[in-house]
Amino acid sequence: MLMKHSICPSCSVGCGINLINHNEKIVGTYPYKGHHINEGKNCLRGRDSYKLIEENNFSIPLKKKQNKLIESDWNTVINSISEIINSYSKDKIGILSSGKSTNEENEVIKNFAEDNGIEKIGVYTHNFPKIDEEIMISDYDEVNNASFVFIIGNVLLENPLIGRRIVIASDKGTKIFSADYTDKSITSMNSDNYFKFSSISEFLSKFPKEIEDKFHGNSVIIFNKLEAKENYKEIIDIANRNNAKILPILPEANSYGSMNYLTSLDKNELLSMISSIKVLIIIKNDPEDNLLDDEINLELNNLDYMISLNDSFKESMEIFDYIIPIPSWAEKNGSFTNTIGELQNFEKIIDMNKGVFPIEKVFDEISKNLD
Amino acid sequence: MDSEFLEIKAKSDEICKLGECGGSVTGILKYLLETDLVDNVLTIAKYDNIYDGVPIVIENSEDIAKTAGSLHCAPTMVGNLVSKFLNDFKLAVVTKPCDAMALTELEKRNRFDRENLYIIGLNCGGTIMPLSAKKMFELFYEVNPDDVIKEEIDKGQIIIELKDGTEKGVKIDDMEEEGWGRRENCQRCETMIPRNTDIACGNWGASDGWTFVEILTEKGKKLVQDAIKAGFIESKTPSKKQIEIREKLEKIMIKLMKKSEIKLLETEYPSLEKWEKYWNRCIECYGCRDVCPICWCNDCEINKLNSDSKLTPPDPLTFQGIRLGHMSFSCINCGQCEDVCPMEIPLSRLYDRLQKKYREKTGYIPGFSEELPPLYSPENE
Ligand SMILES: Cc1cc2nc3c(=O)[nH]c(=O)nc-3n(C[C@H](O)[C@H](O)[C@H](O)COP(=O)(O)OP(=O)(O)OC[C@H]3O[C@@H](n4cnc5c(N)ncnc54)[C@H](O)[C@@H]3O)c2cc1C
Ligand code: SF4
Ligand code: SF4
Ligand code: SF4
Ligand code: SF4
Repeated sequence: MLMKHSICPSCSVGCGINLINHNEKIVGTYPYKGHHINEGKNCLRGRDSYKLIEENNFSIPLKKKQNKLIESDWNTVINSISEIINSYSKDKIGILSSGKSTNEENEVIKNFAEDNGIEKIGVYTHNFPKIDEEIMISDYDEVNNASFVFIIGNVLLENPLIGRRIVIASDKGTKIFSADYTDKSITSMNSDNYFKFSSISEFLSKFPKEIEDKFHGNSVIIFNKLEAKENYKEIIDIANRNNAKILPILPEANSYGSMNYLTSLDKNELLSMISSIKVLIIIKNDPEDNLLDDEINLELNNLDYMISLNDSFKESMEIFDYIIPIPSWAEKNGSFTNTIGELQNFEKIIDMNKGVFPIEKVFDEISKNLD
Repeated sequence: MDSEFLEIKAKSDEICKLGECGGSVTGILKYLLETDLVDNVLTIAKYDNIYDGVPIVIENSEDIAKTAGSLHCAPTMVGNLVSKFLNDFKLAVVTKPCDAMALTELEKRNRFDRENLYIIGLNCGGTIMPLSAKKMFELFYEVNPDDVIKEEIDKGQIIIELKDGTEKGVKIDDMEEEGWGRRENCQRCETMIPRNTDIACGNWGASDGWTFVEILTEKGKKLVQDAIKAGFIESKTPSKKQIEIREKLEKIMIKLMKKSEIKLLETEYPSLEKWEKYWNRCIECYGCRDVCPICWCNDCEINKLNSDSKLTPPDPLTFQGIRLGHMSFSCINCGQCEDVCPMEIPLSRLYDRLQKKYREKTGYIPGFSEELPPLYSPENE
């Protein structure tokens, strides 16, 4: 049994976690109490993250034949993908990465695109734009000590280790206001005042005076969802005129870092990219994640080919034409940049399965075959 | 057997130097590994720094020296690790009293075979959460926590050693009065000397450079004798005075503990409204259950609850109610549930308080009573 430090890959908070390697299998997690972000506390998604390595692993490339994915082999799949890319003009090819890809993987993806003249490339970050470093971003400790907290989204449930800091503030008497689509949530139940909305854009455009009046001292606006990139600017306006800080909680572990390499696409931008191409290389995104919603999935149907590189296989990935296994975060050294911009390195915990190659190898091999 | 007292230190100069007080524990572990009496040793070692102790399994005796020394900012628990991953091995495990109590409870539930286990106990006056320790060193010692290379607890003080060799000490009491210091459950912990192990090792009463060891079982006695014979450790007999000092220190600690117990479980125990506030923020993550060394059922009844929506918190009467009904009699107050709760719910206060009420009625002391709790039935747990 060997325990190793890692970073939780399940959301952008960046909690530390110990993974337990027992007989060369990752069998569980153990609290990492010395970690400065979460002190050994993790939510269920975090503690279950080890299952991403063991239960979902697949190591044989798949290709579609008569509408069904079948097992293939590395050479066949690499050759077919290269041929497909060669048979289209570069402006009909797109690449979509995700916030699950590490910084190092995103760099490889970016270089591959640049070397091969592929310009339609980006990362879908759920309507969050690249975080402007000039903006006053609150760090986590500032939430514990805030004088007023305003929340958009069910942060207590969805990002519990920021939720924890909100309840610490609340226990000290800090007023907590929140807003969301639902009638009720754990976050609303732990707020002093709750506002239900049907649209974030509409809510922000008529921002309630009752909230505006509450800002004082070290106030923080925390939000984990947006409908469009413009919402972000509106929230910054509210923060600026009230001297508050913001804490945007991005959707995935490395959403922040991925935007340092690739253009962030909001939903409309993603839809328009997909409609302008015929071949999509899609990395660590899968339709089941809710990341790609119905509308986006529908648009994907118009493509000629979808080539997926992923660390796990799920049934929802049946829509892809080729799937190449790549390592999960725990099978390679790498780094994430968490939602407050902190670079977090992590080590390889376990060897890659036989037959799985890192993303740089996949792209190297494809590049060799390109015209 | 009646317990016996010895002072012990490691024969190896290296281990003696690295050890907390004589390196007797490490010396004994080295003996166990070298003679193949055990396949593995489970103990705690520094990962990155003194604030970062994690469980480690050692198979080769050459690697044992790096685990020497006490880490007071490592509130670890090894019960689950032994019962889940290491129950097929001949194993030596180093335990604080809470670890040892967890092992006793798990053994009663047939989670492993005690025959396969050497339990090397450490006396324990408490552990500190790593981040609290860092903040304490900033606030009370006015030092950069990254400059601290060693910490030890002596005569009621936490003494730190800095990179440049300077030492500073502050009384634990003074820090606890201001809400810092040891974890709350440790402040209430009743067992300082783990007399449910094979040997209990500590610095109380020991001469400089030696470990004071209370030998508690025949297995422990043989182990110590054989390790002496094999030249891994040496021993001497402590004076009557030393034994008395140790007893006195234990008594003082128990008195202090009683004071904290009354404060945390009675006078400052959260009100019903406060509990309602706490339950309102439970995100039903099962962290408390999964970390609890007493909760081990594969088929936990909490999984059968129909909590279809996580938009609202679970009903505490059913969710925590199941756990209270199933295991609170056996709660060993290890504090792990509270440590891992993302929502800062003071869970171990609740469980510990109930256990102590139950104890008043039944006399059942978890971690020590040889039988299972009177209300225990296997279907229950
Ligand atoms: C948190 C803590 C509090 C203590 N409080 C007291 C006290 O109040 N009074 C007293 O008489 N003695 C106390 N001790 C015991 C004392 O510090 C020595 O560990 C003991 O005397 C053995 O010394 P040694 O030189 O033989 O041990 P060493 O040869 O140095 O071996 C120490 C062993 O302890 C293990 N260890 C280190 N940290 C931990 C931890 N957090 N949890 C479990 N195992 C650990 C190490 O891996 C190693 O195997 C405490 C120990 C700890 C860890
Ligand atoms: S809050 Fe996020 S980063 Fe932390 S454990 Fe949960 S999923 Fe992982
Ligand atoms: S619960 Fe008791 S034995 Fe365990 S760390 Fe705290 S004081 Fe030590
Ligand atoms: S209920 Fe909490 S304090 Fe009690 S034994 Fe379980 S984890 Fe430890
Ligand atoms: S650890 Fe805390 S939040 Fe999680 S289920 Fe237990 S009480 Fe609820």
